[in-house]
Amino acid sequence: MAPQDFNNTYTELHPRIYRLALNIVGSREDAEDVVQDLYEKLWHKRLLVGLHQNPGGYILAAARNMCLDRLRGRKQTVEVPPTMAGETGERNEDVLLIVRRLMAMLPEKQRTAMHLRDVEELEIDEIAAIMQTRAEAVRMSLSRAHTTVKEQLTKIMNYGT
Amino acid sequence: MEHNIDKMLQCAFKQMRAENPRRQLVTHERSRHRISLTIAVTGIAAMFIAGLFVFSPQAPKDDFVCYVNGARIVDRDTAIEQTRQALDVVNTRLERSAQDISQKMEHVNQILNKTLL
Repeated sequence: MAPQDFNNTYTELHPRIYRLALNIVGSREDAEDVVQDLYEKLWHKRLLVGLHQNPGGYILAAARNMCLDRLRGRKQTVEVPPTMAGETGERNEDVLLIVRRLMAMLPEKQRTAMHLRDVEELEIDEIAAIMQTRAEAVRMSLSRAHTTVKEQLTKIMNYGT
Repeated sequence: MEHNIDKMLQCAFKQMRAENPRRQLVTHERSRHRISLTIAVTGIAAMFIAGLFVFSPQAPKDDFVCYVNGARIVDRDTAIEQTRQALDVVNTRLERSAQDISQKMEHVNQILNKTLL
């Protein structure tokens, strides 16, 4: 892959890699570090990235692996990022914060599958390729994640009523 | 109170989707430009500092010092002019002295001639 093509591919995926990293490592600073470190790492392997059938999927899979390596290296703490002020109403911000917290409590596979499917809107096969697993396993993780998050959200919303 | 959980989730996912990194990605193209810019700025700064030393009016040209009639002179042209003037004065005095001597010799010759005759 030519340097310019690699830069274009990576820059286009930059926000998506960041959101995935944020979802896994749970901290803005760490997520931004992962995005930059991954760029440096893949830059040297850009020829191999170019040979891959789906460079975008390969890069996202590498991002996930790097995030997991980073989590293994430290005690896992999940910082829930603040919502973007002014963009949404107060109630929506509360809901966003709650959903973030609920997702952060899910096991990593369920959390990543839910993020890639519901936030990034990827197909099941693409998610399976990124997570290096089977499509059936992704469906199972998604189903469990949805059930858990919905149950918890319903409990919170019905609290006191 | 009835809550539409699915709608809430969709709304939250949509907000997450809109989230973007704050820090700009530094690509190799950008870092190369940064290095070029740094070299250029450093080069210009070095040239400017060197220029200050070379073209500074306070910088001494050399260690030339000359004393003419007791006066300290550091400028070559002024020293040459002062020396020429001093030599002119000396020449004038020498010429006058030579004229005096010749007049006195003439006078002595006249006295000798009168005495001998």
